[in-house]
Amino acid sequence: MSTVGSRLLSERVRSVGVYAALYGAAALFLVPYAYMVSTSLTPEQFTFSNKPYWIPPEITFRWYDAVLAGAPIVQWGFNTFVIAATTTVLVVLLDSMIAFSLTKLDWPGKRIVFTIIVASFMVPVFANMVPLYTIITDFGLINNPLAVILPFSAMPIGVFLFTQFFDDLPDSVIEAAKLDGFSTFQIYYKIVLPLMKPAIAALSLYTFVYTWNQFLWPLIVLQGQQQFTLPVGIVTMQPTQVFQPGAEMAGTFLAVLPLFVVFLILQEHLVNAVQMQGTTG
Amino acid sequence: MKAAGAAGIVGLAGCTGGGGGGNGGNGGSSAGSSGSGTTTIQFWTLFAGGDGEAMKAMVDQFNSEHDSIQVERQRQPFAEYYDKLFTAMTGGNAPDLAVFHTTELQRFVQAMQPLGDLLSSGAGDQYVSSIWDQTQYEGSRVALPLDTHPNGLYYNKDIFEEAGLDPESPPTSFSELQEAAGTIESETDKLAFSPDPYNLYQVRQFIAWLRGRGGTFLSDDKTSAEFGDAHGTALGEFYGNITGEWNWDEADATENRGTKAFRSGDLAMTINGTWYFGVLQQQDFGWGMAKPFVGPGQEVDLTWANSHTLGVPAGTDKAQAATEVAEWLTQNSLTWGTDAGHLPAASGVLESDELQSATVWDMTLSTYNEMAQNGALAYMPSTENNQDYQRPVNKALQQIYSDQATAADAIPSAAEQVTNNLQG
Repeated sequence: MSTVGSRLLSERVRSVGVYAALYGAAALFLVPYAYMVSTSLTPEQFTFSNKPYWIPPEITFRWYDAVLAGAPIVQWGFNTFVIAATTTVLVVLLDSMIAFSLTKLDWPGKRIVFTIIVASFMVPVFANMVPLYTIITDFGLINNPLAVILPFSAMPIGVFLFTQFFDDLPDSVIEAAKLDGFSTFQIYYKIVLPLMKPAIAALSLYTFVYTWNQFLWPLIVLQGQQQFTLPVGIVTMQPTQVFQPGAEMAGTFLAVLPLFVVFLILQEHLVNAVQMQGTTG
Repeated sequence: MKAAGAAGIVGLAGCTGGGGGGNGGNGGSSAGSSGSGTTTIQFWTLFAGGDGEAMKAMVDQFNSEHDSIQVERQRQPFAEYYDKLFTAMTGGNAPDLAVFHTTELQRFVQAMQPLGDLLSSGAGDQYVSSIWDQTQYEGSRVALPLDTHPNGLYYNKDIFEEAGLDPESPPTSFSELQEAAGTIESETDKLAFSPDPYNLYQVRQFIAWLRGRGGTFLSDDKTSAEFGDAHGTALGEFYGNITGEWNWDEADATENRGTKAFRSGDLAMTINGTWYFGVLQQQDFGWGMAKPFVGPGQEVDLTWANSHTLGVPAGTDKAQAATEVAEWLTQNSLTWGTDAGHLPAASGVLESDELQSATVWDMTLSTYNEMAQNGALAYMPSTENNQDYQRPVNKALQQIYSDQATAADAIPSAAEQVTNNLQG
């Protein structure tokens, strides 16, 4: 009796410990975000004091006012959304087509093509910047959203990810569809894509976040203030040599907020994708 | 349901993407001269905060007073400004007019439009002659000076009172600095002095103080560093003593630490530029500004300075109009003085009653003006890439300041590295 009771107790203590450790670790990730929000609401005189405030003694919205009034931040948000959404759609479409033809179609030299695609993501983006800049200039696309969208519209990592998923798709499904008279494109569009929703969600989220956060390339090819994306625009607002943490944090918070919303919408698919990879891979 | 949503997103993205592209195209074409005879000048600046607002006001005024030329101000990120400008100018997508710091001119001079024939006659007489001379490159006029922005010594009058010092007599020499800072250190719980509140730009005042004590920073042909000698090491020791022996500041070179401390009223004295006026206007403590000739062993009075200039990239087909804009902006720069706190380079503005009766004149600009008139401004050398010397010197001084290295080690090795960079 007593041994059962003590075992129950020790199990309970252990699970309390596990939960405390897990939630504690999770809370650590929230610390910078909490500090960002707190600083963005703190009046100037308190942001310079020696001791940091978790909860500001006074709340002010003047940094948000300053950020929203001082710059076309809505326009930048819109630009970033258009660029990130278009890139995401193109990446999913093109990468899935490439992966489909690499895994489910027979054509000569496809191993070589696949090797080249996989090898290409060993090359750092920066190595391509100069030739890419010349090409974009020759096309007359400087200062055009397409200059940011097109170079990233077929990411090799997406092809790699999709081939892993498509490989797991039994060929018998495709054979059956062929017997039913489906064309190749119909197989891709009606059979493969609907079965690959978790993979599509995972890649979409990755691409969206990656494109949303891109800094260097948009900085180089987008020259006009009206065409800037959020990460580039927010940086132009940091006062030169004047330290204004409140304004910076308010700007940063506004820049990450849309990403957070997108994550909330897609998180279920993301978890599914990871689970599917984990169980089938 | 989900499929419909996805299709909706595709449609939206496709449609807005196309629209965005179209707008981009239109933006590009309207940048040229449009049918109505108005020339639009694309003007790149790196100004944000108070500087940005002052520049915006000036550009707005220009646009409202002119019909045939309109300026489109494009603000670019400060830290990446010159890299982006360099890419744009060498890649053939240059703006029509851009801001250049004097010390950056050498890097760009090959790709800039000489202004000689484009300037209106007698343009040079409109500017303070010492600044005018500092802002030309090897005898060629490639840019017009907007201002000069030197360093001064800023101090907190409240802390001076607390320490029993006269808040109206800030230190004017090294021995007076030692005395004042020593008193603050012993009488109050505040920090006494930080030579670079950002902990990022130590090289600026280091060069000025080095030359002030008779040292040489680079050789005349800018191929070797000369500061690894006794002068450089002695000055390096000064930086080390501030946080070490004298205990005037914490041995900590974290970015922006000094400016945070000064603005929260925990630091008594610091060296900073003209732009600090606008920032300190919002502080609730009493503050003053004095000449920063407080480095050890000063024989000649020198302080760091730089100028914003406006230059025309060579690729533009609107050089004449861009030059007109540059002349107007640099000669109608009252706001640049009163709001941004910089010393205007145009003599007419500098001597105007409006500027001399403004608050900024009493607080800072009269002192800066005096230093400019006395030839106390030390511009940093302009090389192909100024990071060649800035980065090693900043790093060495940060290490000395935070007690990671001694001046005797760090300064000569920084000098060696600068020489390698310059010759590499």
